[in-house]
Amino acid sequence: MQKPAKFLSTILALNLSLSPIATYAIDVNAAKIAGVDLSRENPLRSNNQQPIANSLEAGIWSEASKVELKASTSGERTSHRELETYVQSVVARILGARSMEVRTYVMERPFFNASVAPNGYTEVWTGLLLRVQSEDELAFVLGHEAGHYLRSHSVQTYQEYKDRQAATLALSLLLTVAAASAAANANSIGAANNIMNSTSTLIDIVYLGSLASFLGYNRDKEAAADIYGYDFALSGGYYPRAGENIWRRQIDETAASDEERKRRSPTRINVFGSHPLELERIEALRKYDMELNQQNQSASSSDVQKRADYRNRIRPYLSNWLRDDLRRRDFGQTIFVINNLLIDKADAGVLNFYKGEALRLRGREGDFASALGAYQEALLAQDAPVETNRQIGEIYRRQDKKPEALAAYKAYVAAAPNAEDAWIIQDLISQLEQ
Amino acid sequence: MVLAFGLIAFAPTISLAQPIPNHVAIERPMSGTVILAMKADITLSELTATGTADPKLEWAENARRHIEQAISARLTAQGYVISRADPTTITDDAALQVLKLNDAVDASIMSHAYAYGTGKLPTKTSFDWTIGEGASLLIPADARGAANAPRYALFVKVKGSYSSGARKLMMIGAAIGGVGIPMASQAVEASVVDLQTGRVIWHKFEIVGLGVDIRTEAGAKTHIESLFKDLPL
Repeated sequence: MQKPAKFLSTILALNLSLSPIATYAIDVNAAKIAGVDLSRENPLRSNNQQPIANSLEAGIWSEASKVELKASTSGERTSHRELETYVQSVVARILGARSMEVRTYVMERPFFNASVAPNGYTEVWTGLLLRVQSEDELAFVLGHEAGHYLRSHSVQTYQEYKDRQAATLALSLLLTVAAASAAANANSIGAANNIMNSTSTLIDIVYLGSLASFLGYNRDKEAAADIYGYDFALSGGYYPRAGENIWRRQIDETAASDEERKRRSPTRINVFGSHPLELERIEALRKYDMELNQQNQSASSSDVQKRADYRNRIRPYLSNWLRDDLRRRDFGQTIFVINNLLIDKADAGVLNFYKGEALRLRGREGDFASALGAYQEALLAQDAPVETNRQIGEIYRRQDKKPEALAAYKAYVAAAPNAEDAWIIQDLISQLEQ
Repeated sequence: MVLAFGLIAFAPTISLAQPIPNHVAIERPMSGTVILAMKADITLSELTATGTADPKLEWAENARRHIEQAISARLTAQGYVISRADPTTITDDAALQVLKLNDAVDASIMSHAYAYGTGKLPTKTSFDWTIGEGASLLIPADARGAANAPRYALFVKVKGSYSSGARKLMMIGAAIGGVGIPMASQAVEASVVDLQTGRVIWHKFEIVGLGVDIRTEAGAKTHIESLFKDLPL
């Protein structure tokens, strides 16, 4: 027999008017076997639960609503409201009647990020929308964020942080007071300085230790939120293992960075973590899935169709997002993102054009030649940007290949005679013809 | 030891010297002039022994009630009429832009006047700031063009914290040990904008004095009196 969650999700697929939240039952034991301890989690917030008057939560919510107002009127919020409507419709599918508690704002920032504020206001950045490959993956991320909100993680984290701080402070105060009195009794300034310095070193250790455990708690909550993301995706009728794919691609993107520092660091939770964070989380998600399915893995049907459907959604913005991504100036990662998008052969003109741009801008040994290849690949597709020929001309000109440069420039001016820079290119053509 | 404690207690009371003028000379508006008092943006937190600042909504609401009351009393006593607006409910895009511009201008004034040289604009020798004629968009739609349309807008921002009992105890204890722990303090930033011209006619930043509690009626009144001392209205 099917597990209840899956069974209900089947019903839901037939009758969407049923609120999926009603089916929200996590398998705590399966999570435990997968290595995620949910026993200390807050209870699920009740419908539209408001903070208790005069509580810490009331204060935090009030501040969060000020930030929400700033975000909602921010110049970085997308002007494409239909995109927000789409993201909110995915929230509606996983949260049903409660979806209005998680209000999503799409911010035009080229980084992989989604975050939920204590009051449920959620930011989804375009860098994330560029990197998820199907609505299932988006549903997992939104479910993960909804989990943080519905389990009141931020207030809990804040409280835990305070409790830890109290212990740290008591110790550091004790040491400081001891050092101050020792310094007062020291018979030279040098001696006093030495005493103060050695104590400050001690304090740092205490402080950093506290910070580590604080981040450790965050990691626990992230792992818990992954389980919620899985369950929400499942109850919304999505392929629940999509989360594993996202985290895996994030690790791979880290490895694809141009910068060695970046390649080494972010796959770990923090400087104190000894294990790569994402791998643990992928493993937990995989085990959880196995537990729920009697040791068989869930399988997704129609992957290709799902990616195509999602691509149709983001196609109008693809060009802008890729241009924004270039501003991060980590071309290795941009190329990685583009290669992932190229799997399905769609949008080959736009994608190859920006791949060419990334290579040209990076300009390492061999990059120009590869850029030329990418631009030429782009030209074979219907959707190649009109600028492709101009960029080809530019590379040929730098390589001193006059006839090829001329041909490309002329093709550009012919295709875009009214472009803002047409006169510049025309001028270049005249120079080359002399 | 005693000296150390004295220093700690004194630190927050040091007022910020204002090196430049903070208002323009205007002819005193007629009695009956309407002033649009924008809902104050207030954040007050409890500074705990551990150093976190926990936002306290009820403190902010008390302070808002008393500050708005004190402002009302002061301005109506001068013959002005108070009208109220809540900037957080503005949805019109153009008006929102004006609000954001006002915030940006306030930030520039702050950095020019109080950043101790680092943010000072060398050519700004007089108090000459404006948010432009778009300021009239801040006039509520139903009052636009009316004879009793508001002429000036008053903005008030309050940010600060109060120490918890445990933190006060700790400050004393630490002071006895010869260590200083920062004390809580509150600051008020206020400005008045001419809604016809957009000109900022007054801007002031003031730290609330020691012993003045703006969460109380008396404290709010005391602070508003001090804050409005050089208000050209």
